[in-house]
Amino acid sequence: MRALMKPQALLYSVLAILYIMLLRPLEPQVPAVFFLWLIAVTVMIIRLRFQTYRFVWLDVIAMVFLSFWDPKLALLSAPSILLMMASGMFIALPFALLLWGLHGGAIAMLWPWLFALTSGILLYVYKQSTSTSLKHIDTLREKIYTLERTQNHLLEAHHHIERTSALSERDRIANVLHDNLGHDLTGALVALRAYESTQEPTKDNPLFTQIKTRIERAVEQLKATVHQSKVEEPIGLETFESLIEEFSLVSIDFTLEGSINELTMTHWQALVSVLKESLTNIQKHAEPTRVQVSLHVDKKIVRLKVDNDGLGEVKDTRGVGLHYMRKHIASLGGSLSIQRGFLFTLICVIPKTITKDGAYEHLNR
Amino acid sequence: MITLFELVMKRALRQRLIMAMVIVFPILLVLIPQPTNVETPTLSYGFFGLVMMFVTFLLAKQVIEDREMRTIVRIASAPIHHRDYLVAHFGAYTLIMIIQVTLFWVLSFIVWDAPWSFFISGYALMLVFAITATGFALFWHSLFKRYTTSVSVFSVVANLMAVLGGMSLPLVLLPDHLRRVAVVLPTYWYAYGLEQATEKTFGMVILSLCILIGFATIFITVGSKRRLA
Repeated sequence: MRALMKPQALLYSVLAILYIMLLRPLEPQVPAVFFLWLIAVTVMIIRLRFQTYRFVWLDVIAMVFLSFWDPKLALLSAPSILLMMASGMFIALPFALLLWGLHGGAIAMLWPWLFALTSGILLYVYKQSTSTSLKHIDTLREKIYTLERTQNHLLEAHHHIERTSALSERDRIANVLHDNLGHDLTGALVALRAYESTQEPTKDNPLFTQIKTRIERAVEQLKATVHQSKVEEPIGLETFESLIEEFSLVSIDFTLEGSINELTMTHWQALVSVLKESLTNIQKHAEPTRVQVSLHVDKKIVRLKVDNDGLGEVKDTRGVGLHYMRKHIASLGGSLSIQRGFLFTLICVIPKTITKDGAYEHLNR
Repeated sequence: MITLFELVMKRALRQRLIMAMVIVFPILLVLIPQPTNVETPTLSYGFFGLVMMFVTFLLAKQVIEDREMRTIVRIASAPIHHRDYLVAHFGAYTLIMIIQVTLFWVLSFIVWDAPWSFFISGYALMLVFAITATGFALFWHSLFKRYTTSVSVFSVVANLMAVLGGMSLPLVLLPDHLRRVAVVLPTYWYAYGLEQATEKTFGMVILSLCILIGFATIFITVGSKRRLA
């Protein structure tokens, strides 16, 4: 919702109208009176320019004193009363009554106070309603921003999984080539060479020479292919272990229970992200003497537990990093929880079988 | 290293037309024949007020041009405080105006025969009005986006202010109801101050000076708001 007119602009306009209206009863042809009017306007403009409304009541008190000299000067307090009401300082009401009383309580002279009080209240209400709408818009914007950030994080995680999956598949193929095909080819080449050394006449046999050359070339090519396909960067458990080794604050006790063979790259990516975030938080916020990491894999779930006795991460329990981790783990159907006691414990549970929509498969059974 | 103040001065001095106005107008105004029934040159002093308003308006053109040409955005991104920018402009224009006022005052002192008290009060009024006019010019330019709009509206408003404020007409000729309206104009208090200087009521002259200072404060406070576009 866009305000028709900004509350501040409306306040300026109403104040300008009031000051001009006040000139009529004040008789400004008298230079001293005009001078006081001008001082009041100057003070008000300085207040509005620098947005300092806190001591506006001082203007009203000054006018109380001036009104003893000429009761009409009490009228000059009306804009200050308007500003007080518009800023939510409702103490202006007794001031207005007091000044009107000092003015003689004439009904004909009531209009400046009435104008100041009513327009002040209306401006206050208008400002409140506008600021509520603005707050609402701000909250919505913040939500959109958080959603966009979460989406980007999840997309990033997805790309990472894709890449590590491809790498792991390449590594597996390289292993198969090396262990099976490579083994057989090398065996064949050794056998051919043995045969060649025992059977002299075969040297001149062109067919034999061609077979041997081809097998030799195949072995060389296979070696090169396996070498090129071998993944240099750590994957899966290797990444996990390298993170633990690289942690410089204290040495980490790492325990692994169960078989990790059934874990997919999605699991590893999530586990590595959680461990990385957790260790970063410990490094930032805790001073531990002992950090324990345990990875437990059973039939249905995989559980990662990170303990530290330095009670870190307190500040970050609602922080951005853990927030995205939670979202990520939840998207896999898992959960991330924190326990605070003698030790600070972070527990991440992920189902072993991740369905497309990220729900526990065993829950559906 | 060239300071901002020097730069503003250089830019102002480069505008030949304005500099000609600064020098020529005081000479022309001194040559205006004064009415024989008045012993003080109030009429020329009043006209000089109008000249000051136009000269300061043309001088302050730099500020609106800076906004139009987007120079102000580049200045804002430089390590220069907006306050320094304003002070430099205001200071340079005021200095030029002081020179013009002094020139006019010296010439009027030579040409006309008036009491000492009038010359002293008149000089004080002109100096203070020069500051008010500079403040008004800066304030006026802060209201508009384009110089062409600003100048077209100003020429109407300034003439109205001069007539209503008693600069081009003696205040005694103003009807009473117009006088009630005219009090909100700074030009009125300049003319009023000159009138009181003629009548030798110096308390009122001081009050006029205070009122003009008040107007200057208002104009500078409102006009000092930073506008980038």
